[in-house]
Amino acid sequence: MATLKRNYWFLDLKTFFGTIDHKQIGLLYMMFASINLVFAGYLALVMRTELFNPGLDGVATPAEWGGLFTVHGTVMIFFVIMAMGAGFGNYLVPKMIGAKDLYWPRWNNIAFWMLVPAAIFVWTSMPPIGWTAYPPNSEIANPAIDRWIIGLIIAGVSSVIGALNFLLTIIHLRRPGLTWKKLDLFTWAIVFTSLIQFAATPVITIALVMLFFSRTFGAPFFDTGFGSNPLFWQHVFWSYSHPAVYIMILPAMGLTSMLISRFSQTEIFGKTTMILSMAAITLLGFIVWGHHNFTASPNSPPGWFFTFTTFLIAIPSGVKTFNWLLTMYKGKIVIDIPLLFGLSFVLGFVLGGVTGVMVNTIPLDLVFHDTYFVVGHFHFIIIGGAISALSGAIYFLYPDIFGRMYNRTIAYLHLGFWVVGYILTFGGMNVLGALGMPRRYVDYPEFLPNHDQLILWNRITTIGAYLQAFAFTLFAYNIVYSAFKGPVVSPDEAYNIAIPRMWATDEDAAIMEEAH
Amino acid sequence: MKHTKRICSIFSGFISLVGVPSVSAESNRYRETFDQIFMIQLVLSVIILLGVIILGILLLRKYTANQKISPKEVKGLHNLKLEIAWTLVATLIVIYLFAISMGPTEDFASANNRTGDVTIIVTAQRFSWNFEFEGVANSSFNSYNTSSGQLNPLVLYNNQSYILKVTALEGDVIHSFFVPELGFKVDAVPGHFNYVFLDDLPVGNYSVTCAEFCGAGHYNMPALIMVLEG
Repeated sequence: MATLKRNYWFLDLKTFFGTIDHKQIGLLYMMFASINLVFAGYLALVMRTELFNPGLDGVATPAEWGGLFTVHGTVMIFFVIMAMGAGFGNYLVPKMIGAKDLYWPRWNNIAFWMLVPAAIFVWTSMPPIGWTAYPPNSEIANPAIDRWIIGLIIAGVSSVIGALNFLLTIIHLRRPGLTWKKLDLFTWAIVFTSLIQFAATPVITIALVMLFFSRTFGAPFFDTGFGSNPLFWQHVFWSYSHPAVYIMILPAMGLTSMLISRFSQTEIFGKTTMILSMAAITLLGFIVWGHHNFTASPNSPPGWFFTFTTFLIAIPSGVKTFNWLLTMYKGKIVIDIPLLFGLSFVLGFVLGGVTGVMVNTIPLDLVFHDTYFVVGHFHFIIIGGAISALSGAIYFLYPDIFGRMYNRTIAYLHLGFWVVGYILTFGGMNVLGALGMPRRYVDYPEFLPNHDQLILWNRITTIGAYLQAFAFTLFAYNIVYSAFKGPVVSPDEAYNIAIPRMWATDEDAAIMEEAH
Repeated sequence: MKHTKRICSIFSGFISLVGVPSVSAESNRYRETFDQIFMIQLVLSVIILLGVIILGILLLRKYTANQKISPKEVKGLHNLKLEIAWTLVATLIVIYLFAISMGPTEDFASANNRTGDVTIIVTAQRFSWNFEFEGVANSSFNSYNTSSGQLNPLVLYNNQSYILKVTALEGDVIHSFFVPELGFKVDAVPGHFNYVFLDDLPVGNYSVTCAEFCGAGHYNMPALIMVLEG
């Protein structure tokens, strides 16, 4: 048995805070995201526990409720999913393009460390406004809202720096001979993610500054009677935040492409179409935001435009789904944990996709909007989809990060509880929404229609949430325990596949070159 | 056509089993449209979902090798015809879904150009609804009695048509007037009117609830619409 030399770089404070190494910063992002995931997931469990029984059980009071879902949503978006994406980008992109580090290693460190105060601001705020922060509700006097705004502005700046850094790295630091056409799909995903972050994040920053001014100095940016309207915020906000949902899903799509193609031991099916689909999703993502506003001003005309552009997004999404499946065609598939998590992404993505088409259809949106149906829809995509792909990628890179192997039995258990858990939770939420239960409710009072069924489906949803929590506990145990006690393996031995890593060393690149 | 009907009835049976209200005999135009389009999309979605799952399992079974190959054997496949084919199929499906939704969308959206027999101003506030018959003096009333919790129903008649002008109190926050069983919701925005046209309402009681987060009492903003024989 080989011995393992450990490098406890993170115990050295100077390295911990000052590192400019992309792998170490990537791991810092992942640790940061994991810690946030634990606490934001805990908030979700608190909410689900309150909703298990009808009536106010006192697990969370109506006054606390707003803060719970606001911070749960904000943290999950900015400090878990986006941070995880940035983590994988940092860890993998330079390796895959053959660069020593990112273009601006020092700014990379700064961008990461900006997230920590941002997260502290958000965690200490708990404002009852929702992550969407619609005024006038977000204009009430409450210093918590200001802390939340400051936190998000800092996170936004960090996000722009990170995006620019990735773009410059991928443009300038590619290994000679690595043309755009040969670039792998994860790096492509980071290209599109960074384009969105770079173009869209300034919009939310401006909007947040305006909201801050309106709160602090009484600037009437979002008030009726001063030539504006509260709906103005919704348009500015969603013109960032809709593209932002693709910031969360694109890296996961790239990871899924990598997991499925590696474990099928083939290249991805129709690579050019995959890149074009991501480009289409990126572009269309900027012109669909109005689908969040159908019921806000239903008598205004551009509804048809936004519903049409949103329907169009279903096309590249469908193309990608079939390309992922067809990648297995004539492959030499090795069934292992990372592959199955990649397929779990596809399942969550399809479930969230078909429900997304439903919410986008205006006659259906008139009922589904702002109900649990919408909550079920985007959780299917982001949790069932993105978190599955990210978990799979963590398993895939585990031998590379820790030099040891995790316990496969526990990992299979994790997968089982995870898939069943997310289908129950978010499927249950979809049924709740179809039954007419609005979102952001601390309770479902008896005057709501279908009250008996609401009780049943809320319980199913809560049970699903606990199954997911259990799956995560297994995951965490497996990662921590195996980091110390797992069998020592080299990344190449860990999986029985051709080029087990997704990046190519110069030697591998030469072999691939020759084969093609 | 017969097949479609049979599939629809199987699905509505399945759906009523799991708890989503199925197509009821008596509902208003928005709810009817909702039920029809929902059923079409649900059938399509289930077909797509099953297709993806079955294709995935078949491919997994057929091509599982569990053996390592040399990097030289790693190949990429693509099939332009196939990719164009499913892009076209996906495009046709979404254009079809877009087309069937446009008529009802226009129908709902054009309420501000319609006239009804009666116009009702609905004003939302934290945490109740106020109803007022436009042009009728002293007709304003609150959706419920805050001290006793007793609901004051909004009484409508099935032979009359109505325009709802939905807004929120000046200085209040955004709410959303949601009537699940009548198949619509519309936001109540301070300083802004949203219009809803209602006619041919089936006799019955319909709960109203708030669908836009408005504060601690968001979950408990009931109102009742009572439709009587006219």
